Amino acid sequence: MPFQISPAPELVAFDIYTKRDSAPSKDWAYTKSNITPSGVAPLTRPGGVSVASTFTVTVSLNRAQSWVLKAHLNDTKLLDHERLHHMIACCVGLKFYNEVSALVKPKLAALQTELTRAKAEADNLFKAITRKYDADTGSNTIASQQAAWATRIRGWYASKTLTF
Amino acid sequence: MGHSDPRLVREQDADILTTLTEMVAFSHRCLLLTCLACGGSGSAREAESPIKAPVVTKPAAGRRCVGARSTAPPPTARTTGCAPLSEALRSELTPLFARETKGDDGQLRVTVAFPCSGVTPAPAEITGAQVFGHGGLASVVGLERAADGDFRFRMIRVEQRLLGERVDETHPPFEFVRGSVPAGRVARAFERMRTGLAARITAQHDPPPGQLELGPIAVSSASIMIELRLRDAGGAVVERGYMGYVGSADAAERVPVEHAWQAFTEAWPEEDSKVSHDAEPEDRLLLESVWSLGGERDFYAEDGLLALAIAAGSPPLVGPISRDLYSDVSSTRTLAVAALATITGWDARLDASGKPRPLQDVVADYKRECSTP
Repeated sequence: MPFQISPAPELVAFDIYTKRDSAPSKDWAYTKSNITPSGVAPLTRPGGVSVASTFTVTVSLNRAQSWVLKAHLNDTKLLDHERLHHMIACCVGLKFYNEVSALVKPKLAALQTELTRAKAEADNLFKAITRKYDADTGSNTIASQQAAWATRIRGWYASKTLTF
Repeated sequence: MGHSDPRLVREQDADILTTLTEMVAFSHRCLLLTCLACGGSGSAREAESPIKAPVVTKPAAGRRCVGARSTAPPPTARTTGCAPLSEALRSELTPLFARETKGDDGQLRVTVAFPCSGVTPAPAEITGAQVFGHGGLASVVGLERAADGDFRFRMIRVEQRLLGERVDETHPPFEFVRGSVPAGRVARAFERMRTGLAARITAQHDPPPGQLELGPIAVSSASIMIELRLRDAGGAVVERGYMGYVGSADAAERVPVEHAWQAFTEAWPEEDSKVSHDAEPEDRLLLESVWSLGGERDFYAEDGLLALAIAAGSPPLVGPISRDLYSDVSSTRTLAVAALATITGWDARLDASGKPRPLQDVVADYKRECSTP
């Protein structure tokens, strides 16, 4: 399982979030996702060095730090908005996995440099998409834009192709 | 993507415009705001204030929206001084900052240094702004030493999401909190803040020889903006802020600022502080002062300040707010229009029959009338 997701975004529900009575931010929910590489060992091969087949990326919802206000536990629109934030992380994580898996460099140091760059790019990509998603949808207040973005993100996820 | 279906956006904009139009009407009633920029006389409350009324620039013939020069004290140049910091606080904060920066990444090597501070431990003023994206809370806060030695506290806050709700005049979304804080309490907070803001954190991975290293990436749905300005009794100033989506990559920049904000809150008065729904001239000066903090802001940060400007804007903000009319984000343009309507008293959002006009037409009017050529 070189690329894993836990849980699948469509299975994300508020019952796995931490429940709160209130939040200083006055926000209603917070979703934290982790994109975690493991098994990052070098493999010498014709043409240079790559990461070994043990390389794995796991995208997971951080259940302990993701939270929802109790008053909004049954807010399906809010849930879908947050679920799509996690789905963006899944799409970015898969792109990151594919890019790193394809890297071949003549020297170990050059491969390490590329790994560091790929990680920074994945982080920047997530933030750029998330910013645009929130800006266009008015953070889930413009229903037509929210629906358009749901179609777009689910399209990336289903096709395993992120085009942004 | 984005505004691929402009008709749908305009429908939404019209709805928001209607609500914000009601909000402005409410603000006019409650805040006794008159059209200073149009040459109208100030309210009684403003006339009684020791704060001078903003100096209105001479309007071009026929213009309904002009700014004014600021009456806020000019920001002091950032200091190049190097005041020592408490060893005890540095020792306390070093492991805390290292742990928070490291997060879930056990292999990250974090170094925390506190070279020195640009301000001394004697506080004169603390000014800050905090905005939570996603429709959360936006607030600006000021603490300033008064003649009696204590500090006067002011906070303007709005739960941004409520701006999209129908106006409930018994529970308006804007709150003005005022109080007084003993000097000792402010001094303790100031010391933690100046120490925290002096922190310089570096974080890196050092893979073992012959190995590769690739740490985890933590990302989130939360965007925040924090801007802080400390001024000491000698007039020296330190400013530092953070703006972004909370994640692991920029924790080294975010952690000290978050800590300083938390320390700031410990200097705030207790819950029995006076809460009002009316802006005083000093509130408007506070918002004006905060606007000059930081540099260019992302949309969620700017939206938070624009929301506050609906209730506490002033003619000197007409220029900066007019630039938001050119934003590519719909909510920013909508809020900019609402703020300009409140500040100038000229509301172009409804047509003669009282129906909302298309946002693009309204924005065009304000661009023409408010923007500096």
